[in-house]
Amino acid sequence: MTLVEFFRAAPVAPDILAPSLWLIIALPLLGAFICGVFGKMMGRANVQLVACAAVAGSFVLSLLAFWATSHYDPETNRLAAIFPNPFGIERDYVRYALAYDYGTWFSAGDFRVNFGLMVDHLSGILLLIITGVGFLIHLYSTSYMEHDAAYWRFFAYLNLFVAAMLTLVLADNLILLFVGWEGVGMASYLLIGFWYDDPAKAWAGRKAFVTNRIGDFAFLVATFLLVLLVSAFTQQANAADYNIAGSSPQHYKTALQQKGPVTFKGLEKMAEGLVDSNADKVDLSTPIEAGPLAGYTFGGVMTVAMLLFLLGAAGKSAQLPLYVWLPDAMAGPTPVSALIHAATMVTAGVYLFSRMSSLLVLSPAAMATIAIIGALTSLLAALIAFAQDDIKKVLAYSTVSQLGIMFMGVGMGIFWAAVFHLMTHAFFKACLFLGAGSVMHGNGDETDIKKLGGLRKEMPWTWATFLVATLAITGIVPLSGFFSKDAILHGVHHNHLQGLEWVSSLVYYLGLLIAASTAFYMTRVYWLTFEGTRSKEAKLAHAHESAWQMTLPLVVLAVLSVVAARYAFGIDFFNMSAQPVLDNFLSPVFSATKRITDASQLVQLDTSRPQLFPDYFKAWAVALAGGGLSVFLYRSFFPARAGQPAPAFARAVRRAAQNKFYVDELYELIVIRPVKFMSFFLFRVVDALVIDTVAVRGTAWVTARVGSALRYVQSGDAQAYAAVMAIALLGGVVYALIQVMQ
Amino acid sequence: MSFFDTHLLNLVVFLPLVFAALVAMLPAGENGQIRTITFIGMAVDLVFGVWAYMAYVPGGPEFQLEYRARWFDLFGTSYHVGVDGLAVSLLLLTVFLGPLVVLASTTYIKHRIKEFHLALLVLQTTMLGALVSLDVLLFYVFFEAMLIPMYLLVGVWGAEDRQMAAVKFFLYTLAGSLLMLVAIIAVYFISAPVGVRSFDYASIYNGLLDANRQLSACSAGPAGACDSLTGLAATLHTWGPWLFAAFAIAFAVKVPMWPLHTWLPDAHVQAPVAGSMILAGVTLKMGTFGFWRYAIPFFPVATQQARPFLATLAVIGIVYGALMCLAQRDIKKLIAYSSVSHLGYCMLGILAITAEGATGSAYQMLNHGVSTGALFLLFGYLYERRHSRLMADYGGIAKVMPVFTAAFVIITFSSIAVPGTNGFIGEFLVLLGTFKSDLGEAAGNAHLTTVFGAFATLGVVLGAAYMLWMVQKVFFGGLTHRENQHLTDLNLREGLSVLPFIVLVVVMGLQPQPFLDRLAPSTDRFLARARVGTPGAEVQENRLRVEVMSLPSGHVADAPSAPVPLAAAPAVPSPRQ
Amino acid sequence: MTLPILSLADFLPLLPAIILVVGASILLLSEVFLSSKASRAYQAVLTVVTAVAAGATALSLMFEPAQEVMLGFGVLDPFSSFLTFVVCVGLALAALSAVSFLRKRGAERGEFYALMLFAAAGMSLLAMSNELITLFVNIEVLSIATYALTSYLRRGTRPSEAGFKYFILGAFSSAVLLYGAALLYGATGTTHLTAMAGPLSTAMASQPGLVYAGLVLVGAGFAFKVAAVPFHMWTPDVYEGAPTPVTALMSAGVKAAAFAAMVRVFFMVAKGVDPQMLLGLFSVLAFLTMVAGNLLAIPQRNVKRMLAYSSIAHAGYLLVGVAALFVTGPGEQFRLLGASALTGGTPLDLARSEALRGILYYLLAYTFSAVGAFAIVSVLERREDEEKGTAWDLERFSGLAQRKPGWAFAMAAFMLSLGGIPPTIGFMSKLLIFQAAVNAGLIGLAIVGVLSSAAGVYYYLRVVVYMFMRPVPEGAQALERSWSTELALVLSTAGVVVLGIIPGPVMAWLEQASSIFGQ
Repeated sequence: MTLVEFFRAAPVAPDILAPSLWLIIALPLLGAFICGVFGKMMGRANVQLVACAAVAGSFVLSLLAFWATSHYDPETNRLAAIFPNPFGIERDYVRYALAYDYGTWFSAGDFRVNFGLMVDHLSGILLLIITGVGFLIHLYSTSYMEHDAAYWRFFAYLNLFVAAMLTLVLADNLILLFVGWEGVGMASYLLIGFWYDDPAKAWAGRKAFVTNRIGDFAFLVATFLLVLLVSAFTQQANAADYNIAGSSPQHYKTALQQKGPVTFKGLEKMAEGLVDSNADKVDLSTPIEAGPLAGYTFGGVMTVAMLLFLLGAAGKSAQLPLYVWLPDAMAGPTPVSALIHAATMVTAGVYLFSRMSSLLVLSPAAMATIAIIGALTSLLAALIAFAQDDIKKVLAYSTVSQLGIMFMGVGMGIFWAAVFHLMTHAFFKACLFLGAGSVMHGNGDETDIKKLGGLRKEMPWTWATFLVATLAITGIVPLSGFFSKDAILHGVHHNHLQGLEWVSSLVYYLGLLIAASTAFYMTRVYWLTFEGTRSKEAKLAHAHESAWQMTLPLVVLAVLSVVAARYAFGIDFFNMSAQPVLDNFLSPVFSATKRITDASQLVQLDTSRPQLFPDYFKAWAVALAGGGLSVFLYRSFFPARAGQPAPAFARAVRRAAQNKFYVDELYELIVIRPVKFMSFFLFRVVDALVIDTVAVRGTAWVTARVGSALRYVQSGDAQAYAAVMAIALLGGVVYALIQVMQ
Repeated sequence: MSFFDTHLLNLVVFLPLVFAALVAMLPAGENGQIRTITFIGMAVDLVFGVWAYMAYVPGGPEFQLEYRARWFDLFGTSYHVGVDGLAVSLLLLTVFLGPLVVLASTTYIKHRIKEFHLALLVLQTTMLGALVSLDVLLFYVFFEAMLIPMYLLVGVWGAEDRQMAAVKFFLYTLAGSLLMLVAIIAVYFISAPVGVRSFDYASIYNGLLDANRQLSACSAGPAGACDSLTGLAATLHTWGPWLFAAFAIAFAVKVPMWPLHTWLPDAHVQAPVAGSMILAGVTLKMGTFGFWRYAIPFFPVATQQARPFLATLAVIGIVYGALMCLAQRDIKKLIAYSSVSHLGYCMLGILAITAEGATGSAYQMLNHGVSTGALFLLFGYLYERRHSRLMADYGGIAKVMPVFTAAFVIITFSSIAVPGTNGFIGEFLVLLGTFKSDLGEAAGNAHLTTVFGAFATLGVVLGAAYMLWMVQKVFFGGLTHRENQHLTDLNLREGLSVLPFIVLVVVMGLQPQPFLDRLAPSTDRFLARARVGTPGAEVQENRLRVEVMSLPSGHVADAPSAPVPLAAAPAVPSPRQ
Repeated sequence: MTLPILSLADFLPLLPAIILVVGASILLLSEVFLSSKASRAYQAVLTVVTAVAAGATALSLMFEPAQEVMLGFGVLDPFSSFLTFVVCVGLALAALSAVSFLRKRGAERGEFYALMLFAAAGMSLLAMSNELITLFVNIEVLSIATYALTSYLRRGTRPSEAGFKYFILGAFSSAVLLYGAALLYGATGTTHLTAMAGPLSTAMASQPGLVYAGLVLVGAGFAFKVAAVPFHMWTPDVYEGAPTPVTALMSAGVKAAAFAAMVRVFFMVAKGVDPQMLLGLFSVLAFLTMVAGNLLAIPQRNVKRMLAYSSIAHAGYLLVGVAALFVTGPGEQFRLLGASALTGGTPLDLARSEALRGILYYLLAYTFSAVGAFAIVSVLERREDEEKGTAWDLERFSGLAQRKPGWAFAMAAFMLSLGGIPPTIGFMSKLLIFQAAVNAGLIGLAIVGVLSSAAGVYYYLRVVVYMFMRPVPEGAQALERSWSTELALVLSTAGVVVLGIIPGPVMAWLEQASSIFGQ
């Protein structure tokens, strides 16, 4: 039986598996609960067993689910992994996906959120990455955290994170996704601050959470805008609008009642409905009639919403302007950095936009912004990475930079490549981080690359895998990194946003620059760490290779980051112009997106494949140039000139880069300080002084004073009393007289 | 018709009083017995409260478990209790807190234990009474009587300058509510002609309804269209805003809305753990509940005029309260100001007058009771051990008190509305409701709605900022202070008193629907009644009028009995004939 | 001229007063035969018994139809009967609290109780009098009795000073009252209130000056008796100087009787003259009295003096009710205090009877609360400090809750009741008064009323603070209990709390009592 047949014969049929999808999330959650509550009394080995088993279990389930998404019915030999799209007409099926709705979570008025899970090829891939890489990292941690007393807490948090991340990718609506979205933030807060007795680490955790909260703020507002948009759409759209979307008013409305306005399928349908056709009533340029958004056009609101989502994604995926938390997040244990801050959580933004690609392609402006933001972030991070000496910091910035590349891809509408890079990056970056962890583990937690070096002999496995990963990220054939990055760059170059053609070339050339600098700093790290002679300042004279629990994941990840390249090749291997495997594989996910782009020419997606010449050669040239330069510099140049002062401007640049171009200081100045000042001002002046002292106590004071002033009349002297009475009486008489006069 | 069908609410309300009598009979020295009896009383009350909650049928009539008897006929009032969805939910919250408050105080309170527990039980009765009253005057009586035991709790068992805080709390709230008293009396007079006047909620509301509708009809029209009104509508036109203001101020002080909030930090900081818990858990809700039940339905048109203003205050409260927290050094004060922020959400949700907003607001009331109550409870335990409220005196507590820390962090997440906890659902619905609301139109520009919403959402960020800041300062970092190195972790009793909160946080976060179902009927009716004031809004007729049981026997208690020569009182021309 | 022939039946309506007088005489006579050593415990008992008997009679008379008695010199109507009842309640409680007070000072003598009873008789008759001369005579009866009682404790300067002041100023005000009465007589040719309406309206036309002057003077006379600002200035000194039980009787009984007489007079007069003027007059009085009374009480540390000022403030609330009597119907516009036409459709005399009801209920509530409060004051005051005047300092109350929880609870109840906090009779009565005011359209007065009472709560709470939140001062000697005082406290506490929660028969009486003769 051929490979294809093999893939089409899933052991568990979709309709059987679907109702059990919740187990994928529940297993790690249970693990987290057990480890967290009973961990201390269970002992180290059991905790490790439970934690790993939980993740392994959900890995198996994910595998089954993933498999089931392309299951064919043996008898009829027709696709079995289909379910009717609730928002479409009867014959409108969602293909290559399984979903299940566990009923209402909460509903109020005409708003409703369901516990709806869905696995299609996109979320399937992420499921495998999360649980697979996650499992490897759990395994790795069993050895890495062997000396830590709070191991149970660690594994509880780690499982919790996995559960949250799975919720994020399994959710079939925005709110449930948001649960995972904030859940991972919470878990990462706990894990970054894992060694809480170091204030700096605890502070880093808080910084991460609050920065993410700024993104979540935007996320929430964007969600609300979408809700408003949906209601406006349902009020204004006519039959034709629904028709283009392959739906009908009553279908759509009933589906809204059952599943609520924020399901991805529903939003997708609306996006299709917003495409302009001659007969329809609502399209992007239509002004909204009623409600708080009255007067704005659908397209305008959509752009705003997408930009807000960009801010949200920037928080989670560490893009400008919210990337500052990620480098500090390295305070957490290294496996955490590998899993959360490299492989999975930080890619949530990319996932979000791929999930909502159908909405995204309706707004070229937003896409351009995303691409440019991505490019700038990527470049900035790369430059900062030049000057960092902490191995984890370098990797952190390289993560930011790689995420920027993914955003470029998303922004220019080449979603499959972005997802592809997400996957490959998950492999090689996790490999790099774990390698770094292994290095630290073997060198007494030394993180300064200047104080390492020559580890090649001492830690062969670590060295080999690290080398592979480095080559992969640098973009050397035939490693996956090369293909994914190149696919993005190619797409970026050839896709065009309507009215914003200039973006393509801008981003493309920035991309080349980034590629070069990536090669530079990665080679630098690799070189200083593994090649050359061992530094004098090294903590230990001789490093020791880590245990198998640590090296095995390295090897696996290294292998993966090689073989993943297969996805980039054509379906039939030798045809360079055939559709890439992953592109084809993800096409059902992006089908709606494709329909929209075809109908509304807002984004021209081209399907050409990069050619051996010039594209690939260009890429090689760039990568080799960058890598070669740094090898040359660090091999011959700097050691030779050691101790000699570099020119002033170089030092200035270096200092700037080392201090991350003072971005943190900038925020401190323009955001944190003012807020703090304002709060103190309001508290001392407005609250304590104006309201409480003057207004409240003032009233009481005045009353009391008047009272004690009146007492002086009360002299105790009878004549005076009589006099007062007489005067009052006189007053009365006068009053009487006045009455008489008139 | 069993005894419980008619008297269940009476039982729930007055059971604590009965146990108070028992406690009063015990000799003052018998601390153990006093505590046990009180706890049992609260626990039994909890059972009956849950029963009442279960007995409430969401689909049924608006007010259920009704009971009505003649009481001060001469004043035109009657003893009339009953619950709608919101009231029964808040009632559940109240009886839920009862036993835990007793548990929380067993070691915290060291002197004058008998009086303390008496005060607790009496307070419980007054709060429950205020929740279930269906007679405005009865509500007012409970609403005021609530002040006395709370005043004693703060003033006798409080911290260093408790007396100032207690008196401030008392006068602040009293001054507000006395104006409401005048307004209540005025409403009583205008709402019905002589002979059928009554303080009963139904008769007042139904009495005002038609006039309100005329008024809103003309207020939609051209300027000055309302000058031609006659009778009650005209009276409401001139006096409605003032009466509404009187109600609103009374409740706004209780909520508390910015800028009437300054009593809260003092009261919270000085109060003992029990006082803070109840204050945050229940007392503050009386304000929002009052807006929901009385102020807004009675004066929908005035509400419509005042909505932008009030909503602005609410939003200011959200942001301002959060900023205040960032400026605090005192943990209890921080939690107190966070209440200002959270209650801002509740008010905003009510004022949005959308299904989402109202539901979210109601749910937020429960959440705030749970999460802030738990925060005060936990901090109370810490205070017992360390006797300091300053963050600077803590740090690295997590090392010595892991369980405590875990509990506190969970509650913190609920308080900053992390999805999956109860806080998220309330806050999310409120914000969504705000975004969907017509606040902007009411304020003159439809687009302002998003501004309201955006600023309110800002609270989400600030909330995380201050809570986590406090958590970090208190629990993380090194154990710098020697005094803290030997703090003991939660003992069994304390753990047991915290557990219910944590369970509720998760349950209400993952399975909110059962709670929301009970709130839904109240929200629908509230919306229908509030929308009477919004020009051009569609109103479900069937949800407007308040239907309650009439006074059982005897001559109509509604009529303030007129002396003999005036037998023909109803014949007098009344403005609405 | 021939004297009228009076049958025994004609005296029946006066029965309460007669009972009181008889009791007084018995006490006086018995005192003659007692040696100075003999126990005088029975005297208080006898007083209480008399008071109860009189009160019960009054209650039974309340259900008699309103009628003229004594050839129209007096009237018997539920209003006056209820008033007598209130007076008797006050008398009984005051007498109970007097026992231990006098024993402590070795001043147990029959005259004391006799004087109290005489005063009470005067009050009861005052409430009934329907003729200006009778009214004046009764005022003098009760006044002279109270003058004597004020300076009953001859030791020290304060009592005599208080008595002197009270006498001088009282005489002054009586003179004013009498002069006013004379002017009214001159204007109308009659002193019978019921007969006055007609002539008054004609007199208004012919010689208004006379009428106005008369009314103002009479009003001033009453204002003195009820201690309305600005005729209040004697009150604090006299209340402080007088023996505390006497102060209690004054604050409850004298005030009640004076209010009754004032209401009756002006109610009758209002038929003849333009009520607008009366409304103005009483609104101004009420406003001044409420505000000044409360403000003056705030700075007081001397509880007895504070209660004196608070009694002024309460006179103010009662005056609001009185003012509500003179609203001439829907559409009433009284600009000074922003009253309005809220009260559409309330028939006038219904509003009036509500006002009357409010006044009566308020008087009852005030009697319970004030007499109770004074009872506590009397047991806490220390003789030796009386000269210094610190006998009634707030410090006396510190930590009372630990020393005597029962007393502290009772005092707290009185304070809250005086402050008008539910669930106490004080709240209910205030409610009724403000109900009447709002009903009459006096929104402005009502608002001033509630706000000033909010200010008032401050000083009432201060006592509670001292009792519950202050530690017991060291060296505080034990407080000896006495059955009589405890009984008084129990009764008044019951009155304050129970009547605040359970309407009880009082409501029925009130319904009955709200009609005044010739209404």
